[in-house]
Amino acid sequence: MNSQRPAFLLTAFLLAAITAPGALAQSGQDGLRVAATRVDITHGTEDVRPSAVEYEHERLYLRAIVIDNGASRAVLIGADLGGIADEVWDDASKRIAAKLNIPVANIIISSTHTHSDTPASETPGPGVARFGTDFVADVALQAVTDAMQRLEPALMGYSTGEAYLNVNRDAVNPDTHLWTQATNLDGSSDKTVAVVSFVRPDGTPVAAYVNYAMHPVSGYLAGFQSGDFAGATSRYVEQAFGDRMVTVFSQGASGDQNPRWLRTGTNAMASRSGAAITGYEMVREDIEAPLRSRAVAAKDIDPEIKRQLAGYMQAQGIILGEEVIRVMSDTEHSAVAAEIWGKQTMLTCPGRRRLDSGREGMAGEYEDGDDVGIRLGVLAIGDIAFGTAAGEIYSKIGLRVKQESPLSKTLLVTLANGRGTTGYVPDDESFGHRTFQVLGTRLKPGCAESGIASAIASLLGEYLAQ
Amino acid sequence: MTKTTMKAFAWLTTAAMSIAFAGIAQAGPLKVGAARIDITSMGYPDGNMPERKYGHEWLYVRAIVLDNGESKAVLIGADLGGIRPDSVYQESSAAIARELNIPVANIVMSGTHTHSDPRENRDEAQMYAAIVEAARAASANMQAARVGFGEGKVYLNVNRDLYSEETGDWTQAPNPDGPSDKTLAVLAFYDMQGRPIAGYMNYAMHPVNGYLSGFISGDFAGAASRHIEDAFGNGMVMAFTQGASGDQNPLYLRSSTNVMAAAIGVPITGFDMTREAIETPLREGLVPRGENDATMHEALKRSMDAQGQILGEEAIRVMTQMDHLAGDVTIAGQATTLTCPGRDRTNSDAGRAGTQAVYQDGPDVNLRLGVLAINEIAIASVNAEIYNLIAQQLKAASPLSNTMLVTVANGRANSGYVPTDDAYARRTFQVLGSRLKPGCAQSGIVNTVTDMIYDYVD
Repeated sequence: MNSQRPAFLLTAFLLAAITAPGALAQSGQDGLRVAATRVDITHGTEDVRPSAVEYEHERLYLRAIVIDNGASRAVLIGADLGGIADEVWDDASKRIAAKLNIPVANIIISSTHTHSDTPASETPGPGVARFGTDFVADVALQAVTDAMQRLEPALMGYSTGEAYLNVNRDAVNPDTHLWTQATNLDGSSDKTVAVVSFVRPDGTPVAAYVNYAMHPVSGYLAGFQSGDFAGATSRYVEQAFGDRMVTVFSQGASGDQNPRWLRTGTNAMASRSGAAITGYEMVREDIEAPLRSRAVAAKDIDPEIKRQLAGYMQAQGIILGEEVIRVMSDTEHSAVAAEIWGKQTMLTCPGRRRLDSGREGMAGEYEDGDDVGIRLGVLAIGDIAFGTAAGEIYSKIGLRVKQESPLSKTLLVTLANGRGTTGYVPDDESFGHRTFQVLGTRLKPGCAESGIASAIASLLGEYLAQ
Repeated sequence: MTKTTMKAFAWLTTAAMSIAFAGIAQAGPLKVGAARIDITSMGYPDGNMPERKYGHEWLYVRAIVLDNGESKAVLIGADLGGIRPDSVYQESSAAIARELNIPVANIVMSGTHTHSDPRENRDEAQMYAAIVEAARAASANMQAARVGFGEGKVYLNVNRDLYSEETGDWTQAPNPDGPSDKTLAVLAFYDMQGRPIAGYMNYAMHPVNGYLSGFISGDFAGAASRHIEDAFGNGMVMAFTQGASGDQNPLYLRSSTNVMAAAIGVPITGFDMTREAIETPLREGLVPRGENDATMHEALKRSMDAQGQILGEEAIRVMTQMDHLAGDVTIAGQATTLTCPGRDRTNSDAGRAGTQAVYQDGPDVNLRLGVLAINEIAIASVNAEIYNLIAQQLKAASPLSNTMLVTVANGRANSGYVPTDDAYARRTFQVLGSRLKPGCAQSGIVNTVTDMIYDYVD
């Protein structure tokens, strides 16, 4: 990897507005109306033995929140999936936009990024999508259509809390002195839990939209289907309110963020590969690599090890869910008929093509590649800004987006509106890390960090200038 | 009595009653044994134990015995509100000391302070027997060992002294801006192959989740211990000890409050509800208590379990990364009594918190302080519920960076809570109920324990 930062790259990004709106923000006279729905998308439901589904996070859902201000509408969709491919997003968002007569930019479709959305006992190759276009688009449209039937008056609020469950994962292995993926307590990590909540005039909740930055990798290669902590969080909050509301979990800037504790997940991999389990934290990469590369055959997970992992996912969901409820409890909700405004843009950055291979811990060799685009967006509802990025964004970029936003109530939803084609999106400083995320990115350094922050701030400037 | 005079008085008394470190501590090869005795049946004297699902529904006394050939020490941790009455501590520590031929100062005996132990069925004879038996079983199981100390962080606790804007007075509720030490300290003992024999963890958070819940539980503390023991195939013992948690509650008490609410017919909103408003009528017996709602009951047990898992995972992370393990160690204990001027409240009927308390001079308060030192590790102890800043000050002042403060240890003082001096301005129930006059305990504890550690180091 060339660690030099070519000066021209600093100014090389190009912003090209796509998909419409430029339209004026619209607000009605009678306040907001909101509805939310949840559709079970658990794979092979008919094949899942009831005894195998002990934990709520073992069922996957697609959730939708529809917000209507009388003049326009916005849609927030979250799915317990690893990702949603660009073509899937394109199909789904266009069909929903047509159905609701709104711009595509008024819709956010994101995934929780669970790494265990695969059918039980399967060990898919990296990046293999489970669902086809038809499935997700159909379900998303079904969810929105259903919600539209049940719109009801609601108040909206935004507030934040903190959860100390995540940790930076770009680390230097103290034994090998090489970069690897492991816990780095000193690295950048945003603990913010942002919650946009909608309540009825009587105060009962209709829906919540949660944003937190942490990779749901506990169940990766574990051999059972799960929405991980993200799904557990959603279900915990929903059940706390008697299953009479919907909680969408959206992924924050988690490109370099893992759970602080992955011991039980690593044990699950060890159980499947036959590695001895010590009880201590084991070096995850040593256990994961042979399973990931299929150098060893994956066995069924030991039921007790599965129970420990599933219980731990649930525990994370309970803690994060409690913080969400605590935040919601302290949130002041407004009855104002908030404006709804959305716009998307494509940030184009210089690309690179890797010439060598090897996952991490080495200097990558590159040649110039095609430019790469990162789809960005802003959906503004009143004074709340949902920034979006179709990619896996590093923590410092998320922090910078919030810092440079003209609206203090800004959150950044990643893996939103497609997966993008860039690979990970590191901040400039992190390009010096020889981690697999950095080595694998198609982005040259010097463009994305400032480009994303500037573009989202610029879109919000447009919104506020109206 | 002025603050200065009280301080001098405390020091004089301390000096007079100290049991000093005996001579120069000699290092020797460490041997460690550990044992766990199930005391759950204490809560079910009729023998009808309900079906249990979560680890925290079992209660244990845990013992770790250390021996370096020259001297021995014993660490006892129990899933109990405390080792009380004080006579249970005095008699059981004396018995252990006799049996192992060690000074009582080499024993640290504490409760996790769970608020859902069998309070009404605490059998003193059974407690005594379990404690002595745990120490005996541990000492019968000694093996060569190495010891280490590490610290992590857990963000589950929160300060609980809050000035309520609603009522215009002090109450018990989360105060994110108040002092709160997130440190999880872990003392761990490993066999010569690196497998854990035992652990001794210290974190400051009141186990009040199960208070008035109607079921018996070790709360998050018991859950944490069982989570770690389970992770290592139950081949080790992990004792949980309470840090300076006099003003520290769990950040999340919603599911606990919901159980109380359901039991007295208060509608559950799903949101955080004002705990004090729901707890008070139940605590004071002002309303009849109904049966637990099954859903709320289960949710609370899951919440306790979740907190235990998070705490347990951090402890295992700390144990995994622990280095500088020592196989040759010194073991030395010292105990003393800090005496402070006391007060008696004369208008207790005026209210638990948020009211003006009236006091008259009362009998002196005696705080039992101790230090058990293992190499460069200091386990300080006090037999009361200490405000968090006091431990933070102690750890900052200690000449040993590896210092923890175990509270609710070695019996129970006649002090009530031990607030910091500045906290006396707060009209919380802990402060109003404290039998300590301000100006003595905070500096007295910090200075006395620090001096004891210096004495050991010197």
